Amino acid sequence: MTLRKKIFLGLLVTIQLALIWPIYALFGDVHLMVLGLPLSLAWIIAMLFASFFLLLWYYWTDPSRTSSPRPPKSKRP
Amino acid sequence: MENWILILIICGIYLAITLAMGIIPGLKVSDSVTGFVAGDRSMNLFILYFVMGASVFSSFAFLGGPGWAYSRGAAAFYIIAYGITGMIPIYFFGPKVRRLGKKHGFVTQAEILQDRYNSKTLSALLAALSILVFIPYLTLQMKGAGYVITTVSEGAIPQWLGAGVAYLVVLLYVYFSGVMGVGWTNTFQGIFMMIIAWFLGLYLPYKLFGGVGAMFTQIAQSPDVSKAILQAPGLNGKGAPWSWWGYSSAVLISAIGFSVWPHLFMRAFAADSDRTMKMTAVLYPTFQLFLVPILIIGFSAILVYPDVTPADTILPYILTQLDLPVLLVGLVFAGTLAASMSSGDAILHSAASIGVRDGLSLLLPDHLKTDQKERRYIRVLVVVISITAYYFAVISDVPIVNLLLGSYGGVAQIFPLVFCMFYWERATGSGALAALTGGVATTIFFLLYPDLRPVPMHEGIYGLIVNISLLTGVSLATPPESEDRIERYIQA
Repeated sequence: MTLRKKIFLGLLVTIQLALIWPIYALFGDVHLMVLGLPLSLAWIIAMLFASFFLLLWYYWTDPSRTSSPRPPKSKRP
Repeated sequence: MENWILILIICGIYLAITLAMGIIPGLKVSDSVTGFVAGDRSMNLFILYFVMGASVFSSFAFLGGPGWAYSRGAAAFYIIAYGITGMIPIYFFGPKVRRLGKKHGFVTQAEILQDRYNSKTLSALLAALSILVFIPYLTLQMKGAGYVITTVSEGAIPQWLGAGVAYLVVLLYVYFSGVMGVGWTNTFQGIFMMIIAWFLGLYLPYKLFGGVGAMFTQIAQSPDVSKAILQAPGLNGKGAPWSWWGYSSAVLISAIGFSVWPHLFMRAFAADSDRTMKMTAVLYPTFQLFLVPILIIGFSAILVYPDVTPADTILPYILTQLDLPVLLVGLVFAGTLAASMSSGDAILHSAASIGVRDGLSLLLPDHLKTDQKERRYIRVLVVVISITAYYFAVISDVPIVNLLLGSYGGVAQIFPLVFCMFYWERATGSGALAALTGGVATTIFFLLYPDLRPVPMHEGIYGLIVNISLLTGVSLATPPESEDRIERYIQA
């Protein structure tokens, strides 16, 4: 397994664990309010962004992304 | 003219636009089964993104989401939480499924699993499981659509007529256009839903409290609501604090099952490239984010409109209490219809395709020898399934929707089979059959007898424990599948 995959899997598991007990229990209170949102909701939104940027990074660093040719455009929609 | 007639006209215009957008794309797709079921494998990123997103956001999202936030507070965050990682597996197996589908002509989930595990029984079992889950799901969407139109018309249009009109539109474009009808209407409905949700989610707290921050601060300080309402994991259905066991296992089981729902999984066969499939998974959280304003709608009513029952009616209730412009109210109701129909169409299309390709083709192989005949049978099944769901939605008193309670746990049992299809070469057909049967049976058992659970986890987790044990044990005890077969999947 490449280092890139190991980093990805490690962070993915971390994000998943951060959404359930016990990690979410540490960040599941009402205070501190973040941008007007209770911490319990702000934490979930933060994990949503973390997951988005993690997969985006994995996609951008995919070695096959630049090597595989795009399919020819079909006439059908 | 009375307000409700104007609102009804807006909903009517929405239905007419949806019908046109659903029928027109079908004229450009080939007459083949691949055209009907997988859109000639030509869906680009724009369409696939909205198909995956809008299919997930059903009338549950528009009516149930605010209802959960209103009655159970932070427990509703689980709806966002499971989608955060739930779509990621599609990034990995989606492109493999697409390539194998194109090479071998697969268009459904059961077809590819049947080939990998060399088991027609598995295909029939998956078809039965899919339809068993899809019919109550579709019934729920129809009930939602009927409810919206009845509310809009202040009771002048009964629920049976409202649901009938909305789903006649769905039936027509699914019948004529297949998946491309679903694709283009979902794109229109998805954009529409997003705009409505964000507008309402920001507007309501501003109008009622002066802003989102002020709203949450007042809820947190109010002596009239439970302190646990904004604190994870929120409240359970009875209003008492929800257990961490219940919350965490619900997030886990829903995340595991998310990517293998048959109507989402089979869209991989419709993608035009690996890049489209991967980017759909990458961009999915941007769709998931629109659940935030949906939940805020529910929170905005906690202090202002206490004790509204059932909680699922909170959004229509708010709309009827506030002095909002008629056009806006009409657009919101149309948005709710969009949520119902964008899931209903995908489910109807998938149920009929799966029923014929994975069920009838095994029972009546002589009747389905040509592409044309198969397509005709799928269309007939589209009509039959619509009528069945309509019967349960407005005529029958059988509480079929209760079946949905167990559906997430049941569908999650497909995940180990999909994972091992590509990543464990020793997985065998016997192992897969035993795993699926044992997993689903265990899930149903603990759904029926929840008091027998050792700890109060979601019943699907117990199903998965049995599922994975059987998949591993039976596979190792039976001879491996042929090397050629394994190679095709491991190297895909």
